[in-house]
Amino acid sequence: MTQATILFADNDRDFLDTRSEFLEAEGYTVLKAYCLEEARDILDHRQVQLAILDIRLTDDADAGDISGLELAQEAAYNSLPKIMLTGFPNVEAVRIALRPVVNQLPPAVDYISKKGEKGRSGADVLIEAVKQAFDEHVRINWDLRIRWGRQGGLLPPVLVSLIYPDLARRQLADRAGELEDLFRRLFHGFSHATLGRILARRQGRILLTAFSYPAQGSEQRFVVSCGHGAKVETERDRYSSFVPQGVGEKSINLEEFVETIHFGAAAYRLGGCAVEEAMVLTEFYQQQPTARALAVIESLFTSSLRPWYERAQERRPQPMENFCREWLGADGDTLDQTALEKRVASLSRAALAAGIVGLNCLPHKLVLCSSEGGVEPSYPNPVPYLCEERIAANPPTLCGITHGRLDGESVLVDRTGQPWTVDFEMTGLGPLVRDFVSLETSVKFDMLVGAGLAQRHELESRLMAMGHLGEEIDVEGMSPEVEKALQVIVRIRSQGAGTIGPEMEPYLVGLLFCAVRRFLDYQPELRYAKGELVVFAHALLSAAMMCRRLVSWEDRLRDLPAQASESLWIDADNREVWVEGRRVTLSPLGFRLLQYFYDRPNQLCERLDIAKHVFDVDHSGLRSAEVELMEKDQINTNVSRLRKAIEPNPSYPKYLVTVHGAGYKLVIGDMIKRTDK
Amino acid sequence: MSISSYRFLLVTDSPDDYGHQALREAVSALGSCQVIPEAEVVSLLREQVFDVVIVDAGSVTSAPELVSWIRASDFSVQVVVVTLSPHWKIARAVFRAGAADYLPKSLSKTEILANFQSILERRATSVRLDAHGGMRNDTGNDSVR
Repeated sequence: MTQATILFADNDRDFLDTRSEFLEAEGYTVLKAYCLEEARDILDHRQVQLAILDIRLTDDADAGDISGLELAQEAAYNSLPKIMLTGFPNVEAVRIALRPVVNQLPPAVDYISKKGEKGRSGADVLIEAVKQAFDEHVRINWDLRIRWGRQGGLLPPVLVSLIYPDLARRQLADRAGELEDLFRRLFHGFSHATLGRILARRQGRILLTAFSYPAQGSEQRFVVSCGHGAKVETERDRYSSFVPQGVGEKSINLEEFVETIHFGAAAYRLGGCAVEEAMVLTEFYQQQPTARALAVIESLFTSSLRPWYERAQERRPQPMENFCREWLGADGDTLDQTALEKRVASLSRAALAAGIVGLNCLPHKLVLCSSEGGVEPSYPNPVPYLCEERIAANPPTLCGITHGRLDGESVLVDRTGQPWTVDFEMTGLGPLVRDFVSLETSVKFDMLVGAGLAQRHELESRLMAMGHLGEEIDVEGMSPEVEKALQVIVRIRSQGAGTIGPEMEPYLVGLLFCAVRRFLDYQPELRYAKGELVVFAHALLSAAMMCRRLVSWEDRLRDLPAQASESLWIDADNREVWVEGRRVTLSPLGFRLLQYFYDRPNQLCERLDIAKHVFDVDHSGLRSAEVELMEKDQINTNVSRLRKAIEPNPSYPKYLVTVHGAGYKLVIGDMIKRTDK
Repeated sequence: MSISSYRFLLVTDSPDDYGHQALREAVSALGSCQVIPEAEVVSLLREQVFDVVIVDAGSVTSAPELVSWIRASDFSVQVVVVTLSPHWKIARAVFRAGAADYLPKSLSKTEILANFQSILERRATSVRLDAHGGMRNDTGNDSVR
């Protein structure tokens, strides 16, 4: 149980000592400060519930000294009720001290004279003012019985350590007492309260379930956001400004907000939610079959978040990339190129040492090395592209009210599969795409567990093949966990297509920055478990794959042989075709066909050889008529498609020319080997 | 609400003194201003809604009591006490009763306008936040409902 503790600051030592004795006789603990600095030190480090501040705290003889009043006005101490004390009362000081301030306490809750009034001594006036301030403004529920977690695992020091992980050990007891005060204020009017469990931990803030019980009446259930006062206040303000209000089932209502000097707490009530049985989306995803996970995604976007997205929609001309950089804080120091390169190199070494993968980091590309030989895919190294801001996609973006950080911990799901969003710290106006890319990122890096990097690479490759957001893709032939992730992501994208349109580019830009943000969590000086390293490597690989889709041709061309700009060039490692500075997309069969010609530049390629080597047809047992038919059906058709893709004018091919009566020839002048670059 | 549509109520027995004329002229830039004596306040506030009630401390029996009553009857209304003879004890009492401000009477329309604009801005923010329920009110009287 905490005790009523008061900071009493006055530079008149005798006065302070005498008056403190009166307060102590009333049962208060008094922390005395004889100067401004001591007062500030106590406010910053000790647990106090009320402050009594002399206005002339520095020099009683100086009529201009209002240092005590200025201390009371400091934003850091807004939440602490204060009583101004003075031997020189005046109207203007009363106005400054007591004039109401929107949504917070005024600088002081009372203003009294040291000399007393109407036959009452100064000490009596002070004691009465203190009592009144505790009743009206401190409002601590001293009689509340709190269970700190169902098994007692959420004691105040534990919660403080989660919120302030770097707090000095000697401050822990005071800060824990302050946190206890916070909950005693949050549940003012109740006889019992129980903290349930922690749902999510953010930087400087935690989300937990809580249950309170009035002396008579039924249990009330809340999700409580608790942490640094400023962070919880920001969240509260964003909730108030942006979250559509609802009633009854599916509503999310802010029921209470309280602050102390170092903490804030906001209690939200989720209409119709059995909070004690609900779990965060990550947990739900991992416990439930795919069909139920898909249903939750559907419900989340079509029901819970739909009213959000329907407000304040507009297309903005700003590039998507700028939003993402601001949104993810991925700019300035965060994207220092040298530091990032070191981080990439460190992860590469750690991944190799852990036996995850060989990740060869070159200045402009990342090569995924396979221990089994074969094709080693390579992608652009995302570092220079991000640091030099060379992402090309620049479509106008559909903006509206978004949750802002939709992930596996900010969505609660009850037994029936009904989702609620919580955690509104990032809520506000922004590109609608951010909710979809945030959730997809969380599926890949939080919910998907047990998959190796090769499987994750396959997942990304399949996703990268999508031409637009609503496209169906092949989800079969993968491990069950990866297939589940793929299905959920495809459903998220399909919901995204319905809300923001089918264009891939803004979506990929969002995903790129989400992946980078996740990669930035990797700290080279720390050691990680293998599963964690896989996720970091996945984030880096994912960013690289996104980059390949997004960086401008001009940027890519800088790093390619001149042949890619001047005629036709194949990047065999990445299975990319470049024609006169343009990247050409081919089907797997089209690529194989071109590769066959490319390996025989300026040579006649006969139809029968093409049929055998490209189409895997053994024509030894076929009659010539059958061969001819096959040629018509396959070779001619595919050559025609190939020409449409690579020729500037397919009617007059200049690269893939026909040798009448014999076959085809790829005319590309002198070949430049890739290794020449 | 547009800036010219605010409704002011001035509670005074002497509407024509110089200070009140300046006050009425200044707030006319923000909206309409009705003037009544203290005896009619209760019945009028039961029938009509105002954004700001201005109480002339020299014309009423007890400014703190009147402020307290007005705030109890309509929490969203802002109450400003104006006075010719300001005193810190009265200032303390009216603020503790819930007044938005305690102003010495002034003949400067610019000063009056600035004071009332500031009060109306605070009110607008307060109303927006209160609309979302469960928020702290100006006096800190809040609780989990």
